[in-house]
Amino acid sequence: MNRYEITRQYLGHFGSIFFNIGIAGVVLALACIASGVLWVVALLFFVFFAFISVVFTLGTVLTFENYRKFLSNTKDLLFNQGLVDVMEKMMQAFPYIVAVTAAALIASFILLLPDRQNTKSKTRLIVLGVMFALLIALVIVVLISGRV
Amino acid sequence: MHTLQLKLKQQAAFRPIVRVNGKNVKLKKNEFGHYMANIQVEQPEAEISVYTVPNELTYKHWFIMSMLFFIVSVFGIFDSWKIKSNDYSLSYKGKINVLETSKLELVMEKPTPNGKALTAKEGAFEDNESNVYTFHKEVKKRKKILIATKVACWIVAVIVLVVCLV
Repeated sequence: MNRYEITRQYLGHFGSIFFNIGIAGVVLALACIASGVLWVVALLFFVFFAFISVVFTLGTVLTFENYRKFLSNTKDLLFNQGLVDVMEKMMQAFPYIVAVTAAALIASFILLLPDRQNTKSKTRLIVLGVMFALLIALVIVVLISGRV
Repeated sequence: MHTLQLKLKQQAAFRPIVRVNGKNVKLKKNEFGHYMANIQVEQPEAEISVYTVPNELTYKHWFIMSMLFFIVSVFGIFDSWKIKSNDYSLSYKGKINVLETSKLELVMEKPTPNGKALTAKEGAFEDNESNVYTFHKEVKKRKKILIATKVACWIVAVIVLVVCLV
């Protein structure tokens, strides 16, 4: 093994670490955007569950105190200020998450490039391109909606 | 110009790197997972080397580099998980004769102590003392040291976090 091969191996290892950081960043950025969507999905699920359970038990389920408690607790969880705060904070953090993720993705691309003969690194480079496109799309969506 | 059609079959889970006359050869996998390459050489006698990438723990600065990876990957959270690590490596160097169009089919055998690393299924190659796997016995010990250090780092990090939060 010559020095060049060892360096390439080390750079590839650093590249894979930054790749993993980048992937986590994209998922987090996606979660920032989708936090509103997730809330709507949770609300729909809650309404659907409540409706189905009442219909199927012909309303007798409402006589159980535990069930009524469950409904009120879930309603509080969905509508209280805490959840809205989390969503707001996530949107505030969005530009920083995007910056760190973009830096990690670019660093990963540069570090994995010399190791592109390796099948794993080649796959990672392709995934990196997709992730970068997704990140740019997220930024455009946020800029258009004017949420930041 | 002489052409060598090289086929490399794998019995072991190693990624081979092939060099002919000091130049890296681009290997392509076929549908059966075998590495293929068409190599052009000017002289009928060529020097071929087949080697595998050894474990990072066999290198000189293994501890510093491993800890650097550990820190950069935020205590190993973002590090790539390697379930199996190779304690063996191969560094074969020999000569081959390439007539106008020659075929060479090599098989990378499973690593065994003092066993041959490469065997020819078609064509001929120089079978010399470098045609064996090298077993790195220091890797296991170094792995244990590294795991102990990482666990210690995690314990210290948790203590620091708890002290800061309280």
